[in-house]
Amino acid sequence: MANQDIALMAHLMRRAGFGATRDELEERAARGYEATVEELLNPAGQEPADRLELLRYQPGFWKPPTSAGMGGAVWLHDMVNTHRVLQEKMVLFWHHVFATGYSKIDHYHEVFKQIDMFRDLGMGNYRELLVELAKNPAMIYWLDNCDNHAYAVNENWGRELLELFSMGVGNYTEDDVRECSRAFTGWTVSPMIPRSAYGRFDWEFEYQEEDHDDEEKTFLGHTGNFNGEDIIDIVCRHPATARFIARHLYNFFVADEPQVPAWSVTPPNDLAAIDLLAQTFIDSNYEITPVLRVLFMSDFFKEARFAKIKSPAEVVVGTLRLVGGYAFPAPGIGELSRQATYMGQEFMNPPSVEGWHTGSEWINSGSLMKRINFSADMVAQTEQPGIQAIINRLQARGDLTAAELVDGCLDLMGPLEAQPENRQELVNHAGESGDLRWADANAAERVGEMLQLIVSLREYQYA
Amino acid sequence: MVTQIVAGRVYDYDRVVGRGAVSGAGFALPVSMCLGEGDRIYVVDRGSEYIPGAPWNRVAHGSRVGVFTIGGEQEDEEWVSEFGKYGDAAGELIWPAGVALDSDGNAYVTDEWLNRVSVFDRAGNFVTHWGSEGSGPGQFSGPSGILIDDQDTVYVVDGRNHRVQRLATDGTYLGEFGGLGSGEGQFNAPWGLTQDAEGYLYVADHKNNRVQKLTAAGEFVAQYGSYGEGRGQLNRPADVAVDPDGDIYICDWGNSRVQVFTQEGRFLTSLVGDAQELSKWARPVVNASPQVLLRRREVKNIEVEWRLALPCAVEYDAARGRLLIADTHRNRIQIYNKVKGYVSAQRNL
Repeated sequence: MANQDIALMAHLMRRAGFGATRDELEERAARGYEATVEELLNPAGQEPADRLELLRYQPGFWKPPTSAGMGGAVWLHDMVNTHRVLQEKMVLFWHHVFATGYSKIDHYHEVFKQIDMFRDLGMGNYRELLVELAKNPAMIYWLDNCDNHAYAVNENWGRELLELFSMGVGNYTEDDVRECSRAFTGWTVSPMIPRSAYGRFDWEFEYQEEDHDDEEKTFLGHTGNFNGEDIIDIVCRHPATARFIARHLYNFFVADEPQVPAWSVTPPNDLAAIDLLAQTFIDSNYEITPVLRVLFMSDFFKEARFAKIKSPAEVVVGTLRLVGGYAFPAPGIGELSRQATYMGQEFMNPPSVEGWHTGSEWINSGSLMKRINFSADMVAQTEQPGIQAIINRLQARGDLTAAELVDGCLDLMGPLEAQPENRQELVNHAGESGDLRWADANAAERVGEMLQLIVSLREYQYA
Repeated sequence: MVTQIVAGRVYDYDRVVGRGAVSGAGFALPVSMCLGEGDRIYVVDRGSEYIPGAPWNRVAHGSRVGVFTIGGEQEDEEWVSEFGKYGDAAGELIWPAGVALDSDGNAYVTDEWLNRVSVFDRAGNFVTHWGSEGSGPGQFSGPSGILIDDQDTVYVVDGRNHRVQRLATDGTYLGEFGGLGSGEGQFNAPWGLTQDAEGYLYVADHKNNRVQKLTAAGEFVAQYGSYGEGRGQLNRPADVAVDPDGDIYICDWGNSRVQVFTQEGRFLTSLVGDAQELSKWARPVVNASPQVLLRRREVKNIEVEWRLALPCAVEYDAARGRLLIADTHRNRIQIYNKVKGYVSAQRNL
């Protein structure tokens, strides 16, 4: 099979999923790139993660207490186990955009209901997604819409809907924020049975007609007795929304963009790409899947290899899936889910409603060390099935020179394109121990050590 | 309704016992029960990972075996003692899953992570443990349900080996039956089990969404249930109990209910939980917080609090004619009496 086919497929699976083993890459490459894109876009044909399997062995993760890691473990189990990888990647995408945190909500399960909603609707219609987001109890509490009354307007949800969830700064006025917020008065949550003797219960969305501002509003030049869904209709029709969502998708799947607050003053890196995605969004009546299809089939996507720094979620989940052996919800999964936190991304607890700053802002001296240490600890586990598979493939090539060992490992870990000086460093190091002979007792250990060095390269931090 | 009259049987909701507690009066994810002498009940609390930043085998909350009496009247329940704690040292538990008593009153506790059975004496002192990880005779991969018959033969559901093993009380291997599959006598991740008065075994065949009735030697006799959410259907059953009349109670874990069948496989009814009153131990917790009391008065529909949430175990108390349901995720036991000689009210009241 042509190396370029494998390399392109690896690129697709890093972006549209969490990476893939060489066996999977070869199977997918044999079926073809376009066929794989279609498979990814149609998750119903693939097995979802088995949440009941987690709860069977770890019942404590059902509506868990607000203790760091308890909610993240559930999502980590989903991300590591699902075969619907693009669907799960879109859950992560929308969590970046509609950033909601348990730190305020103090109820993991409510955030999880939002995450589950992204799974159900995240590849569907954006208008429908926004309507459900506006009704989502975690979001209502997160952005105070439960305190948004006809007699006392609270603008938090209304403002963020326009600023961070749809159009972006510069496309509306303060009056629009107020009118938008008035339209969402009465969208609240019904009182929840309080946690005490029997554990946690759920919130439910409730529309309180008597608390809704039933007067005329003027929003973005339109006048009428608008309710929330009318506002969402107007927002969706605004061309800024299509560009905003297109830019988010480009930043998440194609290449790092400036941070969101700069978008009103800094043009996109690839304006033509954003225009293409935005127009597809409009033409498809705000459907997400057609936009993703255009994105993954485009040249600008195919040519953007290693143009993005992996998020902590991508580092952790991608490494666990590569190494294998982490599908079962073993004791310690709570702490395992905290690894992304140590790298700067706590699942279901973004730093603010603006979400995480991405790209180079993921990296600082502390987070880089955490990334490297975690990945190196994982790939050193030569008994795990994913690492064993790499060793087996190398072994099939016979005894290896230092250069063959390095190139083989780089190939099977990506393929990764190491800078020449980095590759030479690896060859020099491997050469200190001579050729790799499989008859030697430390052969597997030497492969593990080489993989540890490879995940320490800057190249491994890029998707 | 709290009283169900169905096909000549009467199931009358009695009361709820419990609250969330990591020690003492209450439960922390109760996953298994067995009856002891003198009205005692042993309850296995799975507990939960809780504090990150510590090694996996160091910190969790609530893992233990609690001993209680429940009594026959409302508010009779009392905490007696508890034994076992989280950890992987001798006498400690990581994933406690099942409990059974031998004829001397020693308690045998399965551990699904440590792949062993720990034995405690009547006073709760650790005696020994046996078993190790593997698929050979006397080895385990995820031992869960356990029962000890009147000959002191131990039956252990070896869940991830998809089999049931017969052992002596010292762990000596006596035999096994099962194997992975969906055919008669095969299992897929079996969980709980019980034995009826005639010596037949009933195994909750978890991922096959059925309960199998087998001879003590493991020969297939019958099966109950199929996958689904409807009448008589099951979603990953966890446990099973049989009453002296032969009626079968299946803990329909994934559907959060108990399904009742006749011996002939006819579906009778569902028990879904009816805890309309707070338990004796829950009441002081709720009453201690004025905020909680305020909010409870605002709640529009409190019915969800009555209902079972992923119940993991059922046990039939033949002496008192009642069914105990471990309402695992609500940290309580719901009790239904099977009433004999019930006289219904006049129909045209």
